[in-house]
Amino acid sequence: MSEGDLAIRDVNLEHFSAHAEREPTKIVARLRGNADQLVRDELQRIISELHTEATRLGVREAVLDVRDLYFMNSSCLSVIVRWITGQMKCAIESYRIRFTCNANLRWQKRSLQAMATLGGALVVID
Amino acid sequence: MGRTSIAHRLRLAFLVMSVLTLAVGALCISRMHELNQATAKIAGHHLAKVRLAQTGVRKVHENGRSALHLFLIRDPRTFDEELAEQGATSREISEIYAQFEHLLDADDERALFGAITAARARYRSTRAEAEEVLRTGDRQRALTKFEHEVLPALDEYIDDWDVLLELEGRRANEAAVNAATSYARARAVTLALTGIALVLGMGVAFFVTRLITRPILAISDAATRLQSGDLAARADVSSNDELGTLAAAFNSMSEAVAFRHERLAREMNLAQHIQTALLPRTFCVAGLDVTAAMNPATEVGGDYYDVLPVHDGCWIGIGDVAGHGLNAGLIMLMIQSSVAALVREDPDRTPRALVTTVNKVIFENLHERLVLDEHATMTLLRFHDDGFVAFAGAHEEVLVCRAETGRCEAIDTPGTWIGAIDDIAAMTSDSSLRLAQDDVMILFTDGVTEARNAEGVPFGIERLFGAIEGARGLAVETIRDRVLDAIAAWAPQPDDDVSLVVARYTGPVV
Repeated sequence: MSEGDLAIRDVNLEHFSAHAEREPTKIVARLRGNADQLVRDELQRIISELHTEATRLGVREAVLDVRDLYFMNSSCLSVIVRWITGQMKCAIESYRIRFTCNANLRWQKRSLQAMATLGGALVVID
Repeated sequence: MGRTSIAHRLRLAFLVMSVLTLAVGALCISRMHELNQATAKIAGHHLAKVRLAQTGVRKVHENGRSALHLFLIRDPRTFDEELAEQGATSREISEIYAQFEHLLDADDERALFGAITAARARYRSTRAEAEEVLRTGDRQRALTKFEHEVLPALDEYIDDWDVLLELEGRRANEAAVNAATSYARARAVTLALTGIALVLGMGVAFFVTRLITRPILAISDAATRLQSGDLAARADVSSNDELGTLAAAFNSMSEAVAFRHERLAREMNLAQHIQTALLPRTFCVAGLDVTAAMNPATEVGGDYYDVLPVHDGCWIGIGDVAGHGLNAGLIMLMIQSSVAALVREDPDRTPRALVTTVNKVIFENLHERLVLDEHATMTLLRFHDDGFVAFAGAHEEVLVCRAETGRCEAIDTPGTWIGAIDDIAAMTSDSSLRLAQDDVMILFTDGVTEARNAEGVPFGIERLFGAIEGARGLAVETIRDRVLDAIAAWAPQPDDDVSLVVARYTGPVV
């Protein structure tokens, strides 16, 4: 695989989709729809591939654009929390995790703030 | 049914089809070969006769011409040569006769050939007489005899040949017609045999296909029924082949699924029982009318609430373990036990201190003992009977419906979740609010605001405000029930537990 290729498979379900793109210093994964129990495994895969690719390509940031993600249940939230706590345990500093959020969505305001608090400098909320 | 494998059945079907095809093919080839031989024989036989007859007629004509020439020449030397030539022609004709006679196989042919032989004899006799006269030197009388006796005999002779030729031509035509009839019959037989082979082949193919597909459909049907929840679904296949083995394996699997499903259901019931049994049943807090309820979802959730009275008020806890199932129920049980034990030990510690200690306990249990990577939202509130409420820990907002305005306020619960990292002291702080008399405080889990209707629209915070504000003056139990009814009307089958704590501050305790 060349360095330019991004090994993050898209998700295109009826009520949830995900697509990742590489930008010069970061990888941006855009999540849309509703992340409920049915998409938990797909979300787990995307986050896992995002982590692998961010590490392989040595980008500065892994961005989760959740502006069009209207709902995330606690199981899916657990996937994100595990990602963050996993990165917090890493001895080597790698990439930051940035959330591009929508202030009008209540779950984001409530959960992402707690996530930023949990992650400290590792997590940035826009 | 005996031990006949599908592969064996297919091989057998293929063999039957092959044998049928080969039999039809061989029969057709044999029939065509016979037809070909018969046609060739008949055609060759008749053609030989016609050819001989034509040669005979030609020789007779030559002989006739030669005879005429004999009567016209005057040179004795030439006469002898012509006579010799005529004799040679007569011998050839005799050989043709012999050959022709050998080929005769019908009475009418023999009769006609007899007539020709007789005509030939007459012709030869008259010609010999005329030749005798010519040898005497009386040319004129010889010519007269030739004209009046030899030529009519020759005409009769040739006419008889023509009749035979016509007969042979007719026979050849009849042979051609017979060959065409035989070909048509052979073609009809071939078509009929092909049709029979086709029908038999289709029948065999249908029978074999049905033998294979019927059990597959039975297994598929049983699988569909099992998928739709019919745990008694079994595949009714008794054959002793691969499909029978598959059906037996499916039936064993169904039994195992039913057994595990039953066991899981029992465990779930137990877990749900534990979850609800641990919830407080009575609420007796000085200065606070408090009630609560939890409507569990189908699957065991991880909702937590508790009300722990202390000397000057109470501790109220609310939280939600991420995910569902036994693990979530178990973690909720650990949170409840830890909070209850720590409150008993020191009811006057700060909410922040309590939250961070509970986090340590839960984190250690999860990561070092259970090896689970889970987390939970949790806010602990310390209510004092003067209306002061201190709280810490991240969960949903605390709602307060003010008696003065009749409107709800949503108060953030800053901080982070418990169980995710070992120490959250740095990110946890105490916050506070003050309740005025008759203010109603509502705590809830995300199952309330995220209960989604058929279109996927969540119940949301605004509808929750509306339900609370609409019932604010009523008893706390009525407020609770009105809110729960509104949620149930919005989402009859919620995916998550719905938990609600409703507390009205009744004023300072004197």
